[in-house]
Amino acid sequence: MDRLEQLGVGYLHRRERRLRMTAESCALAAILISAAIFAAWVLHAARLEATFPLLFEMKANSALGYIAAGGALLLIVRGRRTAAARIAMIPLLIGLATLIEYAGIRLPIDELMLRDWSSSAGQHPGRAPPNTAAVLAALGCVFLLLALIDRSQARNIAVRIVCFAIAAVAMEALAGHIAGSSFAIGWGTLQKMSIPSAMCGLMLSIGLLAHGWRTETGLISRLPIWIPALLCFGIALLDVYTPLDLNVGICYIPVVLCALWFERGNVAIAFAAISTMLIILGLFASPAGHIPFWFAATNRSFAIIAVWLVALLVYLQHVARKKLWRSEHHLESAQRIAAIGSFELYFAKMALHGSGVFDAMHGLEAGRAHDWAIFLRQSIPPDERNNLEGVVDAARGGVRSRDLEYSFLRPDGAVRNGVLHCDLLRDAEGAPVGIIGVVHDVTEVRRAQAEQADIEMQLRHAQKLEALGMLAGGIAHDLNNTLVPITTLTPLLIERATHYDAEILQIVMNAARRAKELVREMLVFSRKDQTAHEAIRLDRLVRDSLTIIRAGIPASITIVDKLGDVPEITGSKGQIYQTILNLATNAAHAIGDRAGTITIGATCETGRAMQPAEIRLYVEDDGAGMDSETSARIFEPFFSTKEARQGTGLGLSIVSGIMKSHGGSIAVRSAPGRGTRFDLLFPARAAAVAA
Amino acid sequence: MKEDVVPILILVIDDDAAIRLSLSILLQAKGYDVVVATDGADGFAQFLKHRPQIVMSDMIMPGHEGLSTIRKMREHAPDMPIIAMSGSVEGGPASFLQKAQAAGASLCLEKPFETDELLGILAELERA
Repeated sequence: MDRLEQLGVGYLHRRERRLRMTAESCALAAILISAAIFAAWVLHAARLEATFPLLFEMKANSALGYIAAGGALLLIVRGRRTAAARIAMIPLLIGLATLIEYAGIRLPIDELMLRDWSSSAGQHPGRAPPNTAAVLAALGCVFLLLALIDRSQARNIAVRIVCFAIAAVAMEALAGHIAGSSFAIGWGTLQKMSIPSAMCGLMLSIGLLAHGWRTETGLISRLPIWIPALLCFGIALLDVYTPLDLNVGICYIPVVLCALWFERGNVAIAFAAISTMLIILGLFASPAGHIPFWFAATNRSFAIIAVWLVALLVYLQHVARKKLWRSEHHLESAQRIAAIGSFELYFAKMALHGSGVFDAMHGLEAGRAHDWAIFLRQSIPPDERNNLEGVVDAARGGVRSRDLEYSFLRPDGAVRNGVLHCDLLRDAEGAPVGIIGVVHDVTEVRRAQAEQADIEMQLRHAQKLEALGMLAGGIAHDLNNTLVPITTLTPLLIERATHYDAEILQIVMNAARRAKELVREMLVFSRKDQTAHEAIRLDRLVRDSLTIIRAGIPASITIVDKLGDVPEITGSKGQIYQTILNLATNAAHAIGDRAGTITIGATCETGRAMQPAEIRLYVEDDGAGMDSETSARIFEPFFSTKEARQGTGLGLSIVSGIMKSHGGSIAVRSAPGRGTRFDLLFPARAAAVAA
Repeated sequence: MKEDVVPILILVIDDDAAIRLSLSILLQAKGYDVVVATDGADGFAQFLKHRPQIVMSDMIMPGHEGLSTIRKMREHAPDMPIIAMSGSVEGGPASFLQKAQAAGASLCLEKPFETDELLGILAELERA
C-alpha cells in the first residue's frame, strides 16, 4: 500500500507541479519572443534588422497573435477561463483573416498593426505565412475549446490532436529551416514560416499538451515529456535532410515506443498520429531523389503502416499490463484484507521471496529477497526457530509438513501469531527445490478466541449460579425450616457439653450458618429483577434490620448505631436490606474472632441551596482492611478473599448492581490493618427534595 | 428464669414437627412453658384455650395460613407479642417483614434463626 502511494499520489503531485511549470514556462517564452519582435517592429529599428534579419521574418500580426495566445495559455493554467476565451479571439481572428486573404478576398489585415517596412518583404508584405496563420487559428480554437467547454474526454482528445498538428507543423518548419528545405517552411511560393514563429507555435503546443496531461492523465513514467518531443524533432530533422526516396519514415517508431513509459495506452495512438503527420510532411519537405514520387510515397505508406502496427502493439501491451496490474492489485488487496502473506523459499540460495503483505507482516524490507537465516534470526523467537527449520528440513526430504502455528516478532517488538500452510516446489524431475506457502496472521483471531473463551467461562459460571439460585428459590423454604432445629438446638447442646464435645458441636453450628448464608446468597441471585421501588427512610429500614444483623454476627463485635434522620429515597427495601446485611457480614468477617466495632451510619449530604442531594449510608469496621489491589477488585463477580468453599464471590458484585439500579454509587476506603469503610450514596427522592 | 416466677407461656405454631420439637426443647430448657400447634386452626384453638403470653407462628402453613391466624389472634389480644417466623423468601425478607407487620406481628424472625437471636428477642419482649 505504502509503495503504491509513493508511486501514485506523491509522485503525481510532484509531476503535476512540474507539468504546470512546463506549461507556464512555454507560455512565458512564447510571449517574450513575440513581444521582443513586436517591439522591434514598433521601434522601426533599422540597425536591429541589419543585425538580426531573422527577427523580422515574423510579422507584427503574428507576433501580436502569439502574445495573445501565450497570455491565453497562462490564464487557462490559472483557471481563468472567461478571460482566456476573450484573449483567444485575437489569434483566432488574425489567423482566420490571414487565411481568408490568401483565398483572394481583400481584408485590411496585412496592414492592421504596422506597415511592413522590412527589406525582406516578399510577395505579400506584412502578411503572416499561411502555416503560421493556420497555427494561430488552431491555437485560438484550442483555447476557446478549453475555456468554453467543460472537461470531457472528447474535448481533451480534440485539443490533443490539434496540439499535435500544431507541433508537427512547427517542428517541420524548424527542421526545414535547419535543412534548408523550402517546402517545409512554407507552402508553395507563399510566405515562409519564420524560425521565431515556429518556436512560438511549438512552445505553445507543448505548453498546452503539458496542461492537458496535468489535468487529465496521471503519468507512471518518470520519462520527462520533452524526451519524446526532442526525439520527434530530431527524427523530423533527419527526415527533412534525407532525400525523399529513402524510407526515413520508419525512424518514427522510437517516438511511438516512448508511449510505453506513459500510463495510458492511447498515448501510443497520439504519438502514432503525430508521427504519421510528420511522415507525410517529410515526403514533401525532403530533397528530391532520383526515383519516382510514387515509389517514395509507397515507401512512406509502409512506414505509416509500421508506425501504426507498433502503436497497436504498444497499446495492446498497455492493456495487458493494466490487466496484470489490476490482478496484482486484487491479489495484494486480498492478501492485505485477509491478513495472508505468501512466500517462496528456494533451497539453492536459501532465498526467501515474500509478497508485499508477507514482508509488511514480518516487518521486512519490501520487494527484495531475504536470506532465510537472517529472517529466522531477526523475525522468529529462538524457541520457534527449530519448528520452522523442521519444516524446511522435511521439505528438503520431499515431505510436506502439516500446518504450523508460530509466533514472529515485528521490528517494533510486538509478538504476533501466524499459521503456515506450505507445499513443495519441485523441478522438472520432481526433486524438491523449495517451499511455496502462505502465512495467515491469526493474532487477532487468537485474541478474539481467548476473549470469547473467557466470556463463555463467565457465562457458564453465571448460568450455573443462576440455575442454583432458581433451585434454591424452590427449596429455600424447606431448607430454611430444616436448618432451624440445628441452629436452635446446637447452641443449647454446646452449653451442656464437655469442652471437647462443645468444639465438635461448634463445627456443626458453623456448618449450619454456612448453609444459611449460602441459601441467602443464592436467593438474592435468583430474584435479582423482581423488585419494586418505593419511598424508604433509610435510617428506619436499617434500624429495623439491626436486630437481625446483630443476630448474624459474633457477640464479640459491637454494632454502633450512628443513623441520623435522613430524607426519603426511592428504592427496594429488600435490596437495601440485602446490601446492609452483606456489608455487615463482610465487616464481621474482616474483624474475625477478636473484639471489634462495626459502625453503621446515615447522613444527609446537602447540595446547592442547602437542598438534600444525597443520602449517605456507611458501614465501617476496624477489621483487617484490604490493600489497594484487593479493593480494586472486590466488585468483580466471583472475586472472593474467602476460602474457596466459603463464599461465592457474588456479594459485593450484587451490592454494586443494587446501587446502580438505585442510581447511586458505592465507594470503598480501606488500608491493611486499619479497617474498611463502605459509603453508599443514594440520590434523595425528588418529592423529599421538594419538601 | 427464676423458679419462683410463673413461667411465661409461649405458643409455637408450625407445621414442621422438627421445628415444634426443637423450639419446645429449647424454650423449656430456658425456662419457658411451651404449647405447640400444627397449623393455623389448631394454633388459634390453642390460643383460645391457653391464652399464652407470647405467640410464635410460622407464616406459611397448609390449611390455615399464618397471616390470617396472626390477624385473628391480634383481634383477641391487641397487646400480646406475636413473633412471625418464616423460611419463605417470596419477595425477600423485607417484604415478609412488611406483610407480617401489616397482619399484626410485633416482630419477625427469618428462619433459620439462632438460639441467641431468639432468646434476645424474647428477653426484649419480656422487658417491654
